This record gives sequence, structure tokens and C-alpha cells, in this order.
Amino acid sequence: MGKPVIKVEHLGKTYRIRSRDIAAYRSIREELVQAFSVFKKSNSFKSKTSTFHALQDLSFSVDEGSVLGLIGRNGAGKSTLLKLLGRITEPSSGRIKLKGRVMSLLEVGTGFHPELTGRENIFLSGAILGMKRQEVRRSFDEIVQFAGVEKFLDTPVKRYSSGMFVRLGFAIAAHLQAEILLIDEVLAVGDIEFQKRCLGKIGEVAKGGRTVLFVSHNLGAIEQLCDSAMVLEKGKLAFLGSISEALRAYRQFNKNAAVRNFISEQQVIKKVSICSEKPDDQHFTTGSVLHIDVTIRSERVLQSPVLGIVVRDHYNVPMIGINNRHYKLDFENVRLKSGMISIRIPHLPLVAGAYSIDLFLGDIHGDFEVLEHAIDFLVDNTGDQFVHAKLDKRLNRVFIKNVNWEIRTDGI
Amino acid sequence: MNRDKDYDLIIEAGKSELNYWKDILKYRGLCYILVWRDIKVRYKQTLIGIAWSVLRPLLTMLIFTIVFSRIANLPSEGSAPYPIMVFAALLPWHFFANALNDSANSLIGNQNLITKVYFPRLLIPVSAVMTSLVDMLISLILLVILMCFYGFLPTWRFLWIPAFMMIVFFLAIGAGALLSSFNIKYRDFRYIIPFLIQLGLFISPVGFSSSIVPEQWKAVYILNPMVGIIDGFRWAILGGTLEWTAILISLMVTLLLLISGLFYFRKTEKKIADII
Repeated sequence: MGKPVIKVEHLGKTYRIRSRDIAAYRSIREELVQAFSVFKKSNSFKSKTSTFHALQDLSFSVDEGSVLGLIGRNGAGKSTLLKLLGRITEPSSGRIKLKGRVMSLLEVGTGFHPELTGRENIFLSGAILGMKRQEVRRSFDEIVQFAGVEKFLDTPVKRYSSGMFVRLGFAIAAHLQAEILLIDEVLAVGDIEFQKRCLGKIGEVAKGGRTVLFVSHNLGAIEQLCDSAMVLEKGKLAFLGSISEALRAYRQFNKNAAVRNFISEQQVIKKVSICSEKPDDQHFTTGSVLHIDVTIRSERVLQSPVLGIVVRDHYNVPMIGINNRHYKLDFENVRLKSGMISIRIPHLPLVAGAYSIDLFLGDIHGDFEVLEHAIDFLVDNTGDQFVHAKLDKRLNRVFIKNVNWEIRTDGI
Repeated sequence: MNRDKDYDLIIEAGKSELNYWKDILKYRGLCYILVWRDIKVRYKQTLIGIAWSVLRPLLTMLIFTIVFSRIANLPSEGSAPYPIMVFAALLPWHFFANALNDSANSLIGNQNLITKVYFPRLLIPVSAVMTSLVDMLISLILLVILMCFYGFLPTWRFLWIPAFMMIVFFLAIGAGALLSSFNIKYRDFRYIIPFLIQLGLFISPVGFSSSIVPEQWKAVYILNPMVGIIDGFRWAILGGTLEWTAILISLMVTLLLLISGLFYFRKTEKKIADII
């Protein structure tokens, strides 16, 4: 461990939320309407502006050559922190000191233009991410080989398969020559084989003495890659320390994190909560109960509502995807305006790990609200009542509780 | 160990100004790349490709010549052929109109970059203007060929063209910076800009010569910065007399727009990733 290369002091970022119109940009008409309404009813608009603290009084430092994982629930401020470190937005308070070149990789294929060829895009994206032309040229062959797109170098990337696109984007990023690398959730895409290669590449980068900040929902990846981690909770630093302690701390926080409220007025889904057997029980294990309550308040009536859930594992791979239409019980004659839909999975078939639930709400006319990563939960492997011996993690992604085993011995 | 000078970069709330102008220089390579991208992309999947850069000004010249000279019977300047006179004006006008339109929409068009990676945002509208500059240079070559074709050879005054190009270049950057940051806040500007450009075409001496403007309107007419610039181009290409007041007004308006444009752009830029 070397000297600190990132030092953050009392960092804060505040957003102004205007609950009336969520869009930050406005049209002149709206501006004029607002200007006139000031005369009419003086502070009706002001009262609706509220502030949201994405990050508050955050102080920490990162040493040279360390790989720091950032964990925290959705909206905890992980991405905001990366954006501040990467200078994409400016802090509202506090300061950041950085040593060396910083490159941010918040998306795979940053700056790609669909009309340009793979070759052209390597140079374009490299330049946009901050590489010099000679640097791109030097690692060009390696990038092409890593991505495995030799044959398609002169094909426009719009004709690439999504897998090829992602591979090329990541290959460029993996060859960035920066002292500090900021990586956000990029491994959530691509096939598992490639994800593993990427993880390996990031590991290599870190061994080369560079500092990596890594945000992921993939706790497995974080555990594998990082030597320390930071847990963010509602924009504040909740824990900073070794990876194993950080994961333990995160799980601790998650125990009382089973409710998520959505404040947006436009949104119909207002609240999601999960629990196990009892309402205050947040301990999920393979085979235990998963109970999900979704509170809904809609402006208009939903004719025969459909609620779907997709449970994704930490590679973002869907493990379960069901909605009420898949079951005999249907809400065909139900008219819903305000209420709650509950889902109870009596025996959770998932093995230990971190999972995330997407919600899909629709009615007879189709889907109209999708909440990705609406709520996260962890399945623990301690105290499994149903799994008697340790499951081989490499082979098992699900565990079926009620499997009948029979044995017949016909004499010896 | 924790002293500030050990670090290369200090980001502090509300104090980004210092690094900014240094960064513009540091990132100028990116500017060229963006210009290169825009030119590459523009003619992808077109049949005749880069030939459009030649064809577009030629066709406009043809239309203007037919409408204004043949149908409306407007006089040319001095002995110059009408097509040359039109083309001399189209050079700065086309540049300005395209640069304005492209740079004003450039921030919105590149929002995927703005929210994902840092670089001085000013490079985006500037690179859009520079892309149009390349078109103007192509047209300039075309003009020389055209002049040779009409036997109307360039004189020493032709050397003045780079100076007028500079003025219109900075005018476009100022206006582009201003309009692109307006556009971020108020998307209405996306619809207003085409009207501005259309209006500009009628109040600037593109299809006609400044000499036909009635005397009583002259005072208002030359307030348009493009009048001085276009007349400057015409003077450098066709000869005649140059009205220096018009050039001076163009220079002043350019300076004003450049300063206010950059100032307002910097103000918007600070929150650009949050509001785009």
C-alpha cells in the first residue's frame, strides 16, 4: 500500500427536486407560466422545491494500488460519488484531491458511434475516455484480440451483436492507461464467460499498481476483486474497511432495509417491502419464505392488473420471472386504483447470494411501469434448514426443495 | 503527505474555473477527434459521400442565381458574374448557418458523453463549428475553380479571406455557445433556431447585393453582423469598395457574443450533467 491518491474531504452533493415537473429542463412556456403565477399566488411554486442530499459530509482516502469496492443500496450515492470523482458533475460542498490521471468507465462503449466501424470506434472511444492517440495505437492489437472482433474491424458497430459490442467496449476500457480507474456496474452486461475475463483483467490492472474504484451490485465480484470496501448508506459513509467486514456490515444494514418508498408523483408503485416468514423477519435462506408487498396508488383505474417480478442474481441474470397471469388465480375481474398486491413464495429456490427484484406493473392494455432493481435482498447460507450438505456453488444456481429420491436395493 | 501540492488535481465546490482553460488546451486532441467523427458520420450510407459537400453549395448557388438574377432581375456587384457574387456570400453564410444549427444542437446530441465522461464541454459546440469550417474550406477551393471557369481571377485582396473567416468563426462560436446552453435549459430553442436561420438569410446579402438596400434602411441593416462579414468576403473576392463601419460593427457584435456566450456557457456547464 502506498500513499493516498484520492482524498475526499467533507464532500456533499445536493440536488434540487421539483416535485411538480420531474424534468429539469423546461420550456419557455412553463417559465412564463411560472413567472405569471408568482403574481397570482405568490409562493405556490417555491414550496414544492425540495432538496435531496445524494451525498453528505463524506470523508475518506484511498491508497495507491488499492481496489476499493463501493457497496450500498440503490440511491445510496455510489454512482454520484463516482460522477464527482470523475468530474462529470461538480460537488455542492467539500473537496476532492486526486493524484494521477483519472478515467471513468460508467458505461460500456462510451462514445461509440453506431455508424462508425469497430476500428474507428476504438480510436474514437479511446480518445473520449482520455487516451492519447499513440496509446490507443500501442494497445490496438491487444484490444482487438481481447474483444475477439478481428473479422469485424471494418464493419459498422451498429451491425455488431450486442455481445460483440459489449466486448469491444470493455476491451477498450480495460486498456485505459490511468492511475485511477472508476468503474460502475459495467459487468452487469455480457455473458458470464466474458464477465469473468473482465474481472480477471481488472484484477490485473490493480496488480499493476493502479487504483480502482469499483461499483457493483455483484457482491461476489466485489468480494473477489477488492481488498477493501466502502459501504454507503443514504449518502453517508457507513463503513470503510476490509472487504469481509464491509460485506458483513452491508448485510447488517440490509436487514432493516426491506422497505423501499417511491416518492415520485407520477409513479404508481408507491412502496415495496419484502420479508420472510414474519413481517420483521429479514433473514432469507434457501427454502425459506419470500414475501413481497407492493403498494399501489394510481390516478386511473387498472383493469385486470398484472404484477410481474423478475428476480436477478448478482450477474444480473434473471433467475425467476413470474406474474399473476402465470397462475391459475387471475385478477381478471379486478379493478384496482389503490391497494396492495402481495406475492408469497413459500420456498425460495435460490442459493446463497445477492439478488435484486425488478417489478413490472401493467393492466389489460399492457405494461406501464417497470422498476428495475426495485429492491435488493440477500440469501444467506447460514442456518439452511433444507440444504443439509453444502451445495457446490459452481453447479447450483437454484435448489428445488421437494425432490423425491428413491432407492431400491436388490440384494447384494 | 496530505499537503495539496502532492496532488495533481483538486476539485472543490464552485472552484472549477482555474483548471478549465488549462483543460481546454489539454483536451484539444479530443476536439479534432469529434470533428473527424462528425465528418465521417455525416456521409455514411450515402451514395455519393463527400461529393455532397461540393454539390450542396453549387445547387444553392444555382437556385439563388436563377431566382434573384434571372427572375427578379437584381443587379450584380460591378462586373462580377452573378453566380460568383452569390457564391462569395454563400461561403460565410452556409458556414454560419450550419455551424449555428449544429453547435446549438450539439450538447443535446452528445448527452451520452456528457453524463458519462469528463472533458471541457465547450469542446462540443466548438467542434461542431470546426466541422462546418471544413465544409467552408472545401467550398473555397470550389470557388477558386469557379472563378477560373468564369475567367474572373482572384486578386491580392483574396489574402484577406482568412481574416474574415476568423471573424465569422468566432461569431459562430459565440452564438453557438450561447444557443447550445439555452437549448439545454429550454428545448424550445431547437425549434426557434431554424426560424432564426431562415430570417437571417433574408436580412443578409446572400442572394442580393448590399448595394440594392435603400439608403434609409442602411443604418438598421448593417447592425446584422453577417452584413459586414459577407460584404467583406465579397470585397475580397469581387473587389469594389469596402464599408469599414459594417466590418467594425461585425467585429463588435462578434466580441460581444463571444464574451457573453462563453460566460453563459460556463455558467450552464457547471450543472449540465444534472439537467440534461
